[in-house]
Amino acid sequence: MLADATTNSAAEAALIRAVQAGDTAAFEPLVETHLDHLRAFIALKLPVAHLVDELAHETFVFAFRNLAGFTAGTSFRAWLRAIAANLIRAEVQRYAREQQNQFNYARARELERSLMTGPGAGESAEVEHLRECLASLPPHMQELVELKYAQDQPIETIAAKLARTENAVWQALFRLRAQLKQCVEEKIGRAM
Amino acid sequence: MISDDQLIAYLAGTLPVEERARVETELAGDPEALRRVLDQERFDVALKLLLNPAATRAPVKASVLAGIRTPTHDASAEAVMKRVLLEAGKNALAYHPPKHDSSPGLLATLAAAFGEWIHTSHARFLVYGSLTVLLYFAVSELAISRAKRLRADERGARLEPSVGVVQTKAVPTSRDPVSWPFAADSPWNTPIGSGAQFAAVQPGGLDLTTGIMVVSARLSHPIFRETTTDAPVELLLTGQSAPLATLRLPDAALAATVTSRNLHLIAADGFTLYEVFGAQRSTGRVLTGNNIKRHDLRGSGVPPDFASAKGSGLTPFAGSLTRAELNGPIRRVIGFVAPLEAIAAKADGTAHVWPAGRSPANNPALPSKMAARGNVHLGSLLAIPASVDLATLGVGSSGPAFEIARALQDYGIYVKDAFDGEWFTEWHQAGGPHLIICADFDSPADLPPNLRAQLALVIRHLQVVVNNGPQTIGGGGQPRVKASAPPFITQP
Repeated sequence: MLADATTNSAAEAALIRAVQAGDTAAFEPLVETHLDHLRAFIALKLPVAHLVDELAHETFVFAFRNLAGFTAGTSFRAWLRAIAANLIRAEVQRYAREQQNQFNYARARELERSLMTGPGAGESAEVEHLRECLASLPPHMQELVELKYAQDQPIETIAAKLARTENAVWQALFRLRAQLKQCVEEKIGRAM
Repeated sequence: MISDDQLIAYLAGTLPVEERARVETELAGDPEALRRVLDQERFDVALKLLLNPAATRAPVKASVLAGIRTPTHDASAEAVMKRVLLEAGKNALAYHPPKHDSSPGLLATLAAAFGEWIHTSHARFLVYGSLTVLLYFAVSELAISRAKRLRADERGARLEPSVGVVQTKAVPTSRDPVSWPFAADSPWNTPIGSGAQFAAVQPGGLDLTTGIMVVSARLSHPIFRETTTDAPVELLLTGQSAPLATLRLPDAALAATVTSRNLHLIAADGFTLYEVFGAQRSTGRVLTGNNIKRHDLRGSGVPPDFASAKGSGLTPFAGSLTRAELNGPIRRVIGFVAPLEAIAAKADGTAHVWPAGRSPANNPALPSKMAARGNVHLGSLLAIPASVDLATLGVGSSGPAFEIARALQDYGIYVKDAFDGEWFTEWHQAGGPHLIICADFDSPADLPPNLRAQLALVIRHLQVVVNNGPQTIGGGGQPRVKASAPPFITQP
């Protein structure tokens, strides 16, 4: 498994102890450090953009209110992931219960099922694996990633820049995401 | 068997509506294909967040930091949901809180009116907060004698079912820009003209058979007036230290950020409106907003003169009915919001027409949820053609259903915004109606119980006014009824 270096640092442990001692301001650098990772983690479980942000918010607020029970020096990031996983599970189960539309119900059940597979949230290194997989992409795919996701360019702009049709860009993105998924799964398989 | 090409087109949002529905039906019975779609969505969202986090992270971080300083988790969790929806270009009505536990006692009684969503800790906070807000609102109203006089009529007018009498109230000699906004020649105050050219609502987008929903404007976009007695409140844009304005506002305005992030503040002059979107209470008497815009309610009410921060540029303030108007007459155009799938994208990639100023293109996921076909866009004007006899619509000759029907024929109704209904529980529970209008009421019990059913039949007669434009407002020609917006009241 990848070392969770940033989350085990002495500086982070000091921040956590400061928050536990009543210094609310010390929580901000913890949010700053872990927010992007946590949002990506949630998105990989529940790909609904506005719920990602809501659950990220809920996770941090829950963590803050329950920080007294956290042992400084252990992985804060893993703890956040575990909290988020519980919130995600509750939200997906609720959504599944409410669906009357057959497709949405099937979608919710599949999301629910996938939460039950793979490594536990605390041990999950999907986000780290995804970063590694991105770094190992060939140059032409890195360019596509840069245009679509880092620069948030519209498809027509990407198509023009790459001298391809829009349909070809959609197909390339489809293959890119499938390739990244396979890469992440292989890394998870090797780590287990 | 669903092909890769079909999945790609589905994910790209390029399938026609019928084809999309067919693919979803197949996906529901094909777990492997569904898994692939979800994997694509997972990596799509994750990559966006991982590689361009700055685009959306600041408000989330700010909400977390505000949340840990808030006394209750409920308040802050709801606040972030409202903010996220607003910033995504969705109507704040789309908020539904995550559900945790059930609620006994008084809440069980309230649940009868508010539906199943009340059974959540977040919703309990929402309701109690709303009641508090309404209480403060009433107190602040009493502090403004002029407004009190203007609204005396409204308070006296209860929402009774039709009694078979046409109300012929005299046109007032003056009006309050808050309850009847915009210039007399504004598109919002212009009747349908004799030159109006109608076209049937085309299939694929707006579906008039889905019905209508009437929601409380007090939850959608609460309005607070500046007083002479309250302590000052500073309005700050998020991230800035110098206030944009300082208004004397009741505590209710600060408390309202718990129930809505979409505040409308009226300055003491009675006509200056501050739209505060993404409103959040900071320490002390400070309101921060992700987007704060100042407008003159005596202006046109449409972009570019009055460009709301909302997705279409048309303000939620417009076309929202007052309590008095529900008992008639309604002398202006009504506004409605619609789910994204009811709004048709155009060939040029936009989805708006005049007087709307823009399409919700800020979120790449939204255009793909719009209809590929149809002739109703953001800013479209719809109306009931003159050939339709209202007496045949089953709405009687008075009461809210009749008054709304009459306004739909005389003035019409604009599509003022769109929302993403995917997770909007109350909307789903209402059957997913494509028309949502706002009115000023405290509780659903204030409305006639058969109002929705009556209006569901009425709206089926709506057609698109295809030649509505800046030179032919309402279709041009002789106004169907005399434009009646009187001069604005003189401020004390």
